[in-house]
Amino acid sequence: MKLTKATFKNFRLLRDIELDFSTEDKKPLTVLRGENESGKTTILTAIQWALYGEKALPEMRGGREYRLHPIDWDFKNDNRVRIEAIVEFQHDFYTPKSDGSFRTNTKKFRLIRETIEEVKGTNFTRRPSTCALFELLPNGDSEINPAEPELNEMLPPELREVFFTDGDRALSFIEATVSTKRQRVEKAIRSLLGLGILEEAGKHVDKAAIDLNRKAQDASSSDDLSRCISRIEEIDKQLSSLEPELDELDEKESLIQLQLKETDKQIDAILRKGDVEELRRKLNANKRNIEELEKAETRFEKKHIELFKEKALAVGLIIPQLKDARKILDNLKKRGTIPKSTVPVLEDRLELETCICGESLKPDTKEGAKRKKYLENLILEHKDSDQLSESLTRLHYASKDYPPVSDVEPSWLQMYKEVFENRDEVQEKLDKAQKEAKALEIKLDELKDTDIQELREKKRLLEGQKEDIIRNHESAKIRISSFKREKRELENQRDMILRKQQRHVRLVSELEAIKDIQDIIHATYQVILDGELRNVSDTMNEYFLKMIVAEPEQRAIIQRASITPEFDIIVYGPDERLLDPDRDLNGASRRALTVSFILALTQVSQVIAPNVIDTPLGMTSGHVKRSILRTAIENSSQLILFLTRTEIGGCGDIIDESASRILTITNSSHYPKMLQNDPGISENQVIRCDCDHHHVCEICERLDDRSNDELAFRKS
Amino acid sequence: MYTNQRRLLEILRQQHDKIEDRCDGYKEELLEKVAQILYLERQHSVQRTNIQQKIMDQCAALGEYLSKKRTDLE
Repeated sequence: MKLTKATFKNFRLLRDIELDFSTEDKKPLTVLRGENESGKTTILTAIQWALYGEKALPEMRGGREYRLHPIDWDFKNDNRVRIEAIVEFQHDFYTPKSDGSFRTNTKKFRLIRETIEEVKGTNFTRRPSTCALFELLPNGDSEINPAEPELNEMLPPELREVFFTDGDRALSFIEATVSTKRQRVEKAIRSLLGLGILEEAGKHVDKAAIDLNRKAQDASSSDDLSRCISRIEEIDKQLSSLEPELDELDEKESLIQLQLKETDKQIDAILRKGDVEELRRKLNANKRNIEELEKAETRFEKKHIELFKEKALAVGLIIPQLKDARKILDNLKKRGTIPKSTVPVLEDRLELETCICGESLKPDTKEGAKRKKYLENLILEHKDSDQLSESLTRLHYASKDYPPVSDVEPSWLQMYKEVFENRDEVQEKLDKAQKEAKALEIKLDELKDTDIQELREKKRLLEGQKEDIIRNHESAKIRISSFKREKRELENQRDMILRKQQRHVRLVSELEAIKDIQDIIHATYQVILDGELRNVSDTMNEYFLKMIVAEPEQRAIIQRASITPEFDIIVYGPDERLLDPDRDLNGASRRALTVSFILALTQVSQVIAPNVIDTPLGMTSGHVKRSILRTAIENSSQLILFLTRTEIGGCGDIIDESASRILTITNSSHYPKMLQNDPGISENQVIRCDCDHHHVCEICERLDDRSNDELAFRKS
Repeated sequence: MYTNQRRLLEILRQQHDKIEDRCDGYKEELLEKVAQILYLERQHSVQRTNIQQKIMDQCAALGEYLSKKRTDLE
């Protein structure tokens, strides 16, 4: 099925608009350009409403109905709004040829869906929509009545989300809980490959076969035949309980597999953080290390303090001044100012009681007492100046004991440097060890709530359950196969007896026919289930790696993507490590993975259908953006992309090569804030023009377009 | 044949090839009936119908075709 044209009237902002789409095989791309709030998503909804009716409308919060009429509808003037969508499309019908190939017959159709909404203020009521389908023939249109079954056959409703994709909603295949994602993926695969329909058909044909068998039993009088048919009936009963049992076991196994995967993930996460015992050992070793370092720090601290009491420091500090003092003291000595010994000599004389001149200093004579008094006065007079002179003399001789400045200075500084460096080094080690201890303590706190032993025990139990299920599964399979073999033999026996009885030719033919139908349907189901899921998985992987420009040989972070038999989309990193598409992939890769899945499904099922995608290139840029676009074009039978100007940026050349139709839509209410020219429309409305990414016209020209020299102006 | 799932048709065709041709025109009739059954199933999935009866009718019609051909041959 390919869309050719769509016309909408009074569908929200789409008051009156016609769009046409490319159906060319070589240029399958149609680009619908539109900025935010230009009506792109409304068009996506409108097409789906036309094709699928009310069930395709978005669900509203609080159970409200999704409004179809324009929000600024003048209900005071006319409160009944007629909403109409006309979609034209072509569809290929296949007729098998004798050589095994198919003859293709392309037919054209027009679908008209309409409804009426009655508007009362902010409320409205809507009538159920009506739908009319016409085949477009050269000699006039021919109505197909009823339309819905035919339409559903050409575009199955369960595939709506595969063919009509909102860029953000598309991620629903990989962004949800495990079971929801799985259901969505399974539903899409089963629908597109026809598994669901085959399964249902198989059940109904089996039921028809059981009924026919009973009919044969009722019609026959032979005991052998009766026994044979009774046994077939018994086997059918056994099979009808065994087959669901097998499905149930499959489901259980898949569930346990999922639980095992989760448990493994939890164990891995804990082991990545570390084993509790191992962490405790590390923490204890770390604490011992901290104690040693603290002791060393105290040692060096003391040494540091001691250093300031060192004589060498005092010397180091005094020597520069001593140099000048030496000069002064030497000078004083030269001049005889020091050493000065007047006071000791006089005191000596007084003690001897004899003066230097030989006269007596004894106080018993008047003269002696007079001389003694004189000398005592003299001593008092000279005492102060001699104390200074004595100090200077001591300094002079003391200064002789110290080496020159240049010899002293480095020794204390060297000691200081060594102590300082050692202390600094210990401090650094201590900081590091304390930080490590803190980190280990945090990890241990996190782990305290999780008992890895408990998880390992859970895993062991799950593995045991899995083994039981596999055993039961195998046993059920063997019993089914044995019953089927017995049933086949009994059926042949039954048919032979009936044939001999001549009058049951019709019954025998019916039994044979129904068996052939059963065989084809069941075998087709099995082949698709066994082989095609792998095909979808491989094709998705091929497209995905191409889109994200990943080279597995060059150790790319993303190595491959795959769909498991349980319908999980999984991504592998280097060394087969699992990546969670939801958490480990960036926005562009997630979008690429979803688009790859949709394209792979369409490709493998060989369904000719449009891929209509709203904003597929959001969050992408550069090579990845170009590659997503190119891969999507190469693998779609009809690709309709709703793109903003930003999304088109950097991809213009690819669009030039592959698009045979480019349209631009503009929201009239964007004037004057964003649009350059007044559209001259009082109501909010989407207007289209034929401008591509190289042109602008009076309708679509935006305020910032004037600064873009690459855009050419064309008359609308 | 209405369905546009070419891959499904291809596989269906391969399985159909393995079936014994019970009489002239039988296999074409068989393929047509299988395709019709799938069409009815799809119809039933969107609009509940008396699917069991419809499928029994298809099977009976094929049986009748086979029976008639056999009777004609006799």
